[in-house]
Amino acid sequence: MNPYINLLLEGTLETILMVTLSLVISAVLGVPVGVILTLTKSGGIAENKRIYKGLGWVVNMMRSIPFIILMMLLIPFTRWIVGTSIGTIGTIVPLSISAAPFVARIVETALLEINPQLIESIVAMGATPFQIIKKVYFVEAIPSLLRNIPIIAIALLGYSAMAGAAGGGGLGDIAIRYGYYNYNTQIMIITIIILIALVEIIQTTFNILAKKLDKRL
Amino acid sequence: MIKITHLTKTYQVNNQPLLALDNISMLIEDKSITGIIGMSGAGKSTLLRVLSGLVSPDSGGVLIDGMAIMDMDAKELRSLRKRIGVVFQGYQLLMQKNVFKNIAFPLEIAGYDKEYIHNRVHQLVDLVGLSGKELQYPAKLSGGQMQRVAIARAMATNPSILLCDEPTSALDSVTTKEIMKLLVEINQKENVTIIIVTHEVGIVRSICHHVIVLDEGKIEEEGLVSNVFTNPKAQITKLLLGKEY
Ligand SMILES: Nc1ncnc2c1ncn2[C@@H]1O[C@H](COP(=O)(O)OP(=O)(O)OP(=O)(O)O)[C@@H](O)[C@H]1O
Ligand SMILES: [Mg+2]
Repeated sequence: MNPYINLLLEGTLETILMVTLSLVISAVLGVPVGVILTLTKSGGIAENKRIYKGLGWVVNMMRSIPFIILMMLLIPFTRWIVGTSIGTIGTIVPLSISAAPFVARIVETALLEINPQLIESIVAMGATPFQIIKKVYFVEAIPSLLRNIPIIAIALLGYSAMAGAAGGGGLGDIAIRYGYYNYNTQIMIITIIILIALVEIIQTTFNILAKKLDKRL
Repeated sequence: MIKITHLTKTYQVNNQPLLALDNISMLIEDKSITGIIGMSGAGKSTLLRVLSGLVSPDSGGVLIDGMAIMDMDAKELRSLRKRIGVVFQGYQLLMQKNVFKNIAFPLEIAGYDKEYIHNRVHQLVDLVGLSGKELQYPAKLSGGQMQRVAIARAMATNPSILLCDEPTSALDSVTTKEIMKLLVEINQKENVTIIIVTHEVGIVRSICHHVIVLDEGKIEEEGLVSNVFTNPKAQITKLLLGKEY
């Protein structure tokens, strides 16, 4: 048995925890922004150039900051929110914040795939904007959203490994600490294999889910 | 009764004004079937959009049973919409919802209770001849069946007016006849005023009482189908009637 097995197991769980929690938090932050972008875009049901441009600018700006820089910039904020800027918990804050604008754009793209004439026909039935969001947007776009979750999850996995290298815990931390600094090639290879397996699992699960739930197929 | 007076609508296309509706006035009697016919780009869909309150005109008015839709606020407009059913070009069904859920949709958003919705949807499914298909998803239906769902959905809230935009343009001739028959049946059974927008002369001839010929946003000719089609005056009517004329 590999003496590092517990270490690897722990690292894997930490990574899964980081990715899952950041995915959820970034969705909480990003989904409403994505919805607002869709509604206010020209041709949307609450068209508003100012809001769309302003919000779009913030989203683009946040997306253009490299993750590792964002992580450094956010250290005081992260400390204030969760009390620490290192380890698994300390990494979740910058991970969530860096993924949120990404989520917003992905939601916007998925919602824009819905035929505008379908939305028009729902408006003509007397639906309120809230009903349209709840009963049309988040029903018709579900398969497309599911297909996009792996893109974000896998990006988060990559960032979490990067954060690990900068004191963030998880598999990245192990790969750097034991694999790189201690010249333990075996550990390095195992972490890479685990990361590849995680990517495969995420991708396959969501593909199957999207396929199962898409009634167009 | 629907009373339309001096309706004008301009779109900006490449910074050029485009007169989609040019001083349109018409009266539509209750329980009649009116055909609005014209070539592509004549302004037919725009007229339907104004009638359903989706697009506001530059000037002119629409009175539905004596109420001016231009004066309505968002809430009044939403409640008016429950009295106007619209069958849109290209069905516009919810692809992730089954037949039952599609037809139930307008009732759900209007806040009816489950039991009422259940009963009403079954009535509608019977009306349009889709019994047994309630749990199917639109992707598995034929064009004719999808159009039946769209018609049932438009009729869900018991509207007094049914607007249909090119209801048969994507259907074969046999299915077209079936859908026409269904519309006539609905007109008689449910006492609903029907306005059909189309570029197909055959549809107007077979089921409409009145016809309005639209070209480049203007009414070129109107009247009883029997008069207009046997003795067309406008050039565009003759053109539309083509060989038939
Ligand atoms: N939202 C819009 N913005 C700009 N121009 C528009 C818009 N909607 C319609 N138009 C223009 O207005 C004119 C009338 O369009 P409309 O869709 O009413 O025609 P139609 O008679 O329904 O044609 P079709 O038979 O092709 O459906 C066309 O020239 C069209 O390009
Ligand atoms: Mg049209």
